[in-house]
Formats: sequence, structure tokens, C-alpha cells
Amino acid sequence: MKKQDNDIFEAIDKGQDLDKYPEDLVSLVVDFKKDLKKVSDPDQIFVNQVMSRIRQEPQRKFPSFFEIFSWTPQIAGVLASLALFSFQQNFSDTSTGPTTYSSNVYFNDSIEKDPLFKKSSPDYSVLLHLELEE
Amino acid sequence: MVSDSSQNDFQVIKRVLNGSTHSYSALVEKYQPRLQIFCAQMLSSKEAGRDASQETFIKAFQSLKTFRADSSFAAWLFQIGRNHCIDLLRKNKRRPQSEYDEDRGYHHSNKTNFDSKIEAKDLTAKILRLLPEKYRELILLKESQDLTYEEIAKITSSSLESVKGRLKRARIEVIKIMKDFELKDNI
Repeated sequence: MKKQDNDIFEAIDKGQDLDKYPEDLVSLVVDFKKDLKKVSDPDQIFVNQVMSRIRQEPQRKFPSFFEIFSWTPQIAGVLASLALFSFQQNFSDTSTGPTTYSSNVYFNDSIEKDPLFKKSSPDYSVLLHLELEE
Repeated sequence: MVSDSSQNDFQVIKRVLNGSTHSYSALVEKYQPRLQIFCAQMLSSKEAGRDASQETFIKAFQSLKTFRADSSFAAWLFQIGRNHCIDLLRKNKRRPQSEYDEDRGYHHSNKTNFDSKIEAKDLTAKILRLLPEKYRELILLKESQDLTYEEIAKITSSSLESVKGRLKRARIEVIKIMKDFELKDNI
């Protein structure tokens, strides 16, 4: 096949001279293009069928109150999952500063300084004192 | 530049969106012949084409609110139709091939299972059936529907350059098939 043969399509569209192309090929392409453009007349039965289906399936509108109400369990489930995820993230994160509720930060910064924490530790100084007395 | 035809379409769409559902029949009447032939040629079956074009009109109606007037209604409608036909072709490819398909003289990797219903009496239908899907749609959009390169690019979600390149290859393929048939006829 000659490389420029596919240009027949454009040449026909533009009304250019077709002499440089093989005659039989030009005739085939002309017939092909004509065939492709053949369309039937509008079919009223088809139109009626489409319109009847459209009336049965109305255009999508915003969801009604009842539809939203029916989604409530799913929405609640998603919100609960998100809350649980957020909770887990906060208590497992040790890389952030003291503004978060990180267990390490709380232990290091607060518990050790807490007077109650100190009180709850055994007082070894008493034992030492007893030993010295003996 | 918006054509008069597009301007009329926009007015009809406005009326439909304002609640006049029956106005949509004007668009169905106007585009049914073109869309039906496009779907039939894409699927190589008149019946499948009729069903697919009906589905396309219904899908278009249901999504009419999303239509933007930056393109013609025709281009938007054919985009929906083209995507629907491609979905059908893909679904059909997953099914086992029919016996009828085995008996074809010309084997092609892109033949579809709609082939069993083809009315391949004339050369045009045979050429379309033998064209790979990616070329068939371009030939149909350009040669059958007379859409512009810009509209085809929008419909196929491709760049302008890609459309031009693929259309060139599609035309080469058409001529190759024509010559194959011509040779067979002369033997």
C-alpha cells in the first residue's frame, strides 16, 4: 500500500483532486463514506419507549428525608470507626510533644512530679533507720 | 462559537431541567437516528445498537444536571453512548466465543461476540467488524457522525494530537482491509 493512500479520506472531504490515487480504491472509500452516513428516519416507537422509561425512572434528585434516615446506621458506623481510629492514634503516638495525651509524656512529665506518685513508693529510708538502730 | 443547533439543544435542556420532562423527546427524536446507527456499528448488531442507544438516552437524562454548556449536547451524548458500548463490548468479551465466530475467514484479535448477530452483507459492515475497537470508534465518530477533532477528543478523553494520529492509523487499517477484500475478489 502506498503511504499516502489513507489521505483519500481527507482529499474527498476537502474536494481535492483524486487523480493521484488508484481509481478503484477511491471508489471503495467513497462508497464506504456514503454507507457510514446512511441513517434511518426518526423512529417514533423508539422515542415513545425512551420517554415511557424516563417517566418510570425520574431524574435523580437530592435524597429525600427518608433516604437519609435509612442511611443513619451506616453513617453512625463510619463516625464510630473514625472516632475509634482517632482515639487509637492519639494514645499510640509518642513522637509528639506534651500537648497530646501520649502515655510516655504523661509518665515522664506528670506522674513522677505528682506528690501522690511519690507517696505511693516504698520509703526505704525507714528500713535504713531500723538497721542503724540494731 | 455555538451553532444554532447547539443553541436549540441548550434551550430544550433548560426546559427539561425546569421540570418539563416531555421536552426531552425533542432531543431523542433529533439524535436517535445518529446515535442508534453509531451504537449498532460499534456493536455490529442492529438490535444491540437499539438497546444501547435507548440506555444512552436514559443515562443522559438522568445525568442532565451535570451537562455543561462548554461542549455540544451531541458530543456529550455520544460520549455516554461510546462508554456504554465499550462496557458492553468488554462484558461480551468475557463470555465464551460463539461457534459462529469460529467460522470466519478473517481472524482478528478484536472481534466481538456481537459478531454472531452481524448483518455483514456489505463491505462497510465487514470492514467495521474487522476494525479493532479503538479504530472503529474513531472512524465512526469522524466519518459517520461528522464530529470535529475537538469533539472526538472530548468523547474519547484523548488529546487532539492523539486523535489525529489514531485516526490516521485507523484510515490506513480501513484501506488495508479494503485491499484484502479487493484481492480476494480478483482471485
